[in-house]
Amino acid sequence: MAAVGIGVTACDAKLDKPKSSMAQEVVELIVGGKTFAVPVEHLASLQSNSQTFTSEHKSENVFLAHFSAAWLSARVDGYQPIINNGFQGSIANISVGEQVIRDSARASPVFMDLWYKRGAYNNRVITDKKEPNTGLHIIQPIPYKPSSDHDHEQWFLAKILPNQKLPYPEKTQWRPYICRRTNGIIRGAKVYTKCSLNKKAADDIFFYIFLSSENLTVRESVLSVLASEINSWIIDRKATNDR
Amino acid sequence: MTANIQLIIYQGLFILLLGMSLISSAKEQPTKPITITTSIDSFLLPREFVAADIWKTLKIPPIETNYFLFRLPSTYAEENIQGFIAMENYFEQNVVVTVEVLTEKREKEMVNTDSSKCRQASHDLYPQSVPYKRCEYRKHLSPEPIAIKYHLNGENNLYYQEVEVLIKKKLNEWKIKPSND
Repeated sequence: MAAVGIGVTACDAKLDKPKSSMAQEVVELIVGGKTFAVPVEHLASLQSNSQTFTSEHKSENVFLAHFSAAWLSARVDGYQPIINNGFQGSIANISVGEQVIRDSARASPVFMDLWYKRGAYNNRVITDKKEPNTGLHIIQPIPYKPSSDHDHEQWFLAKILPNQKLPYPEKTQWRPYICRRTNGIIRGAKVYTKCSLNKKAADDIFFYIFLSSENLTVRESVLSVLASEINSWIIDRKATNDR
Repeated sequence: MTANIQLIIYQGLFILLLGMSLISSAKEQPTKPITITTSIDSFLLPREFVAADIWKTLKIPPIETNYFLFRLPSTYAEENIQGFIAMENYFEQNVVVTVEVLTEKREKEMVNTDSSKCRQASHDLYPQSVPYKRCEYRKHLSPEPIAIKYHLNGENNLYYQEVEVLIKKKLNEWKIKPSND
């Protein structure tokens, strides 16, 4: 089992320096055999025991990192930091280690069922309309029923359409984005749509985030900026990564 | 017996005073400006300029960051910029501004930024929204290592330069001047 080490240090050795000196505090996390120097502003929690957690495989191979709406907006052209009167920004769920490589190589039963139109997705429907911000195909788990209350509505977005007559593409790992809509809790917000996106940051580092549908147009830039930032935190040079 | 009554009265008075001071501090606190400390300056951001309504009612400790958001309220922009429209297309035209204190590397990247360039931004998916021109602008407030980014909609795109000047003015106003002590 990997150890989880936490320590706060003021360090600017490997981070892009501000013009003036505001010491960049970092917390060192050992996750999945790697050591990450995570800037304090990206900690999802200041409580060390809630910063990392175990996955189903009982080893500390997952940690959370917070990227504020302002940080993402500054780093990504086209990213909108306030939507429907609410702050954006993302919590990245970052998985690290050998087990993660094995897990990611396995086909997802959910996506296989969706591809083969079976199980819970026996009635799935591919809609005529495409998602306006991405041009991706919309796949509804069940035929759409108009309702004034869209709470917890769910659908998938995919570049390649599923086809139950063809074998599931094991090699390319067909993984549509999962989107959910909820009624907003903030005044003036009617609906709130977020989609879950995955990215491989290095050979043994994977992460996922939730992105508002309005920001899906810049999803590749967001994922790329986050992958680069997460990689920049690694201080254990023995570990392999594909930077 | 008398001593007990006095004690009860004193305790009652103490609780009353404590309660009143807590209520008054709770009432005052959310209206206080928010202090944002960056690597170059500190800014005192009045509540009316916080980026989302929900922040107006929260107690927010001083923030230390090189990235922050604020907004120019639509009515404030309308009052200060001739021609700016506060309400268009069913929406209040608040201008959300991203502020970034630049690192050396980021400053080099921002050198040739064309602040007049409209980067077409995607629309939100609010049911009442209809297509309109939505642009994103970026500006390096040289010589200071500060960059701003903001969005404007429809006719308000005509006033991007005035908006830029107003943003710069507000940031200068909010800057906490170092004391001479």
